[in-house]
Amino acid sequence: MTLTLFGCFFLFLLLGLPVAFSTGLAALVVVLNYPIVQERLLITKTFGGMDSFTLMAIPFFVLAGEVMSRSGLTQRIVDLAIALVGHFRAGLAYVTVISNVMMAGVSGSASADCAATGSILIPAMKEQGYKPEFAALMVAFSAMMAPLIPPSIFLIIYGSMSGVSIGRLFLAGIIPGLLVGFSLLILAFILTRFTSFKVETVKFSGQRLKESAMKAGFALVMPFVIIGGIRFGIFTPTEAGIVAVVYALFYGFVIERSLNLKNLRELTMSAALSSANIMMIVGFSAVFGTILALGRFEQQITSVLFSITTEPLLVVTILIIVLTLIGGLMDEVSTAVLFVPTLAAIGVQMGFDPVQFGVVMVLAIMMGAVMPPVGTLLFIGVSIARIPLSRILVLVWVFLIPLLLVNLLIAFVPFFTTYLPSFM
Amino acid sequence: MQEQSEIVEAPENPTLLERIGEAVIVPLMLAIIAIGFASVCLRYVFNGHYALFWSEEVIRYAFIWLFWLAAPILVWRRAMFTVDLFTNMLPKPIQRVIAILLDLAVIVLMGTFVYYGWLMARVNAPQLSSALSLSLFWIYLAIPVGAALIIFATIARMLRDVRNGAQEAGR
Amino acid sequence: QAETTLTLGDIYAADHSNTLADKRFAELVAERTNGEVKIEVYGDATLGNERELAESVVSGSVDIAPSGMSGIGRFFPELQVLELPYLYKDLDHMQRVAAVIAPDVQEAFQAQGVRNLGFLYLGPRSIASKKAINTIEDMDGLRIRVPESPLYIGFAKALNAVPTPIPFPEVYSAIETGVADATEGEPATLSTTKWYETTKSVSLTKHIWHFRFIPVNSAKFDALPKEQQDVLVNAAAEAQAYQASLVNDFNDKALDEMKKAGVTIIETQGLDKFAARLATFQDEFAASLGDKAVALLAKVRSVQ
Ligand code: NA
Ligand code: NA
Repeated sequence: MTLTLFGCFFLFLLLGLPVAFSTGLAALVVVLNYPIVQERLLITKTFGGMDSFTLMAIPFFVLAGEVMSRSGLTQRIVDLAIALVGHFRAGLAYVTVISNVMMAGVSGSASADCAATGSILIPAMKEQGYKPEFAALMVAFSAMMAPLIPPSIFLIIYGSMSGVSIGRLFLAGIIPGLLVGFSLLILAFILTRFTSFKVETVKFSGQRLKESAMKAGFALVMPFVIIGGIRFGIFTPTEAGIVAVVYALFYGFVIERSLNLKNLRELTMSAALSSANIMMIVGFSAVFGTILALGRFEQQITSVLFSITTEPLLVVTILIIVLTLIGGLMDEVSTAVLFVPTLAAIGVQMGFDPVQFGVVMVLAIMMGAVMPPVGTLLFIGVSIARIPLSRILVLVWVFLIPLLLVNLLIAFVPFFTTYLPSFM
Repeated sequence: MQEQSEIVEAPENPTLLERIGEAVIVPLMLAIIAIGFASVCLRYVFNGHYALFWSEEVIRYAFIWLFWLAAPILVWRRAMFTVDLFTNMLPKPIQRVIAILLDLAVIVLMGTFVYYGWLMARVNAPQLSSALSLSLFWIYLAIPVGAALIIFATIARMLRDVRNGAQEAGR
Repeated sequence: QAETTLTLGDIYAADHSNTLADKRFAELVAERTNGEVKIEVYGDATLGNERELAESVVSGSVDIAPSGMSGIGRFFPELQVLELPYLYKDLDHMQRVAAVIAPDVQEAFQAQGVRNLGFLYLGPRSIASKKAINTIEDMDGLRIRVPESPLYIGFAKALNAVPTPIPFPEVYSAIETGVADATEGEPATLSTTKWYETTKSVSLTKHIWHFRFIPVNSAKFDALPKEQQDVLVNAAAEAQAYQASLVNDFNDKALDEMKKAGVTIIETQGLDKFAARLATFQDEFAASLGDKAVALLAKVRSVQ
């Protein structure tokens, strides 16, 4: 039953059926072949999968991010990053990382960040003589901080599927997110040693830094409003999404004065469609959980896993690698929705801190977004850089190394994920 | 060779269906935000005396309707998350055949959802929501309605593709 | 080899009294039908939450699914009066009530094509709060997390507390950070959720005892031969008695565990005042649900 389910799902997916329908149709095939699962259950679970207040944070954070970007936030952030690190050799590579750190604090979506910062920075880097594949990968990998640094759609999905507190996951993601950024800075430093580009040094200027910081300031308050509001008990994570939207609208209409009602209509519609896109996958694949339970999938997986090893650190290493490879074949939302309940149960069995384990798994799942051949962020990066995917297929492995190392580090050392939540 | 990014671009000439969808979806989403924000604020004025106990439920159910009304538009625009990397490597005629088969599969799947969705809406009619004691029939109705609209959008898109194909052939 | 396999879904972890009853039920059925009827137990909400499970039993996609007011009770609004605060004296009283109202429950269930195999007991629910609840006055302005239903909202309001609905997984952080000051639940829930870590005190307000029913899909039940139906009914009755025998011990154990973890357990004084304050609410609430509910409440109150 489990095999039929996954077999059909991958078949439909690779034939080009939308992800949501691939999950729905695979479940229907199981329904038609195994009397233990019925059509009515499809409806009950599809409804139940979407019926979650915590998941409703997704449309809010998507809208908040889009409103901020359209208000001109991305350019402000890039300007500030240039003022901060633009004067270094290979400054634009560092600017990419720093911009994405700041974007990650405002937006919950990696692909939105990738598109937003990429559309400004990839052309700029190409202009200065960076190799386009380097520019595309730098942006794609920097966007990986979005799902770790709160707000984060994937931490919300993980929390709602596993019952782990989203407030705690948000705090736990901050240091790993910064570690990803730091590892990318080092990688950029090393890789650009052997590259030549136009020397167009931006002189460091305190005045310029001050001005751009003032301009970006109102936007950069937002992450502190979100985290502070959750931390000091003013609102729950879903409500934080609502507050973020209201703050973003205030920013766009009152502070930047760059939005009008037509923009508001377009942005609202776009956010509604983007979140429906995610929630349709969540809804249709909710029945997978029940089918897997009826097929005793968790027991099967754990018995296979534990027959290889019962050493928690080895188990988590295997899981990270397997998830990354799976991620190369499918999109991250369905990887998360399909496997999180099982993964969370394994984590508890192995005695991991549920919050730490959650962050490690989310990073592993997100690595699928930069894993060829099917990597959402890679697609966005290369399409902005206007190069074929084949051109990044070598360099991407170099970029994957620091990411893998960071993930192993946070998996092996609880400190990075448990330190901040301990202040709640 | 692309997965859709999360930002769904609006077309230059939206169809009537899209415009109607937008006319429902946008006010609904803005209303949800207003209710949610009011709920957070009311908790902190007058010692929480006027706090809304039903806001969570209304937000959840409004979003369920919103998602099912947005899905047909995604289908019409071919904007749902899709992995078409592998099929794009096949010859064009085979791609077309696969596309038609997949559209038929979607119609079958959504047909199931219309039939059983309606059935479950009726099964759940006596089931009342916790906060507002609203019959869940009205919420479950989103599934058969949304699924029917998806079928409609799929057929309309197939017809459009056939017409465009004929035009290309005529040239 | 089993000829009939029935699926049973529940939401509790393997060591909860309800899940133990589910397993005992399955064992008894297997034993007494010589393995001809096999009941597969899926706990931990793996087949769905209480609401989804109830819907699944009614529609026939799960065969048996114990649940209470947040589950099967949603289909029978009048049964909600059975969960009113300060309605039962203790577990023994509750068991006597169960015997009296069993036909009413059976009659109500028939309308949705389900059959009640028995009752499970949960309670008494008490309050975990940062500030100790010594008397009824301590409830004034207390921001308490309650399930999002009129019964619990009304309960909190009647005591001048501020009901604050928060999703279950967020309760711990919400209290830790101060979105809410208090939460409530039966001892086992208070203990396993570790909510007490954030409140440091648990006050024994003992406000709500409630039933869970054991609904089976009627079509599935009726399709079984008469002897097997009898086995199911008798096995459920034994599982019911078994679960009842566990409740008080499990409650003491849960309270002991919390005490060991450094929690102050407070014997709230003047519970009769709480009950008196909620008596009007009981009547109003039943009236709002209609005549059937009023009659059912009267029947419950008539049980000594
Ligand atoms: Na983020
Ligand atoms: Na992927």
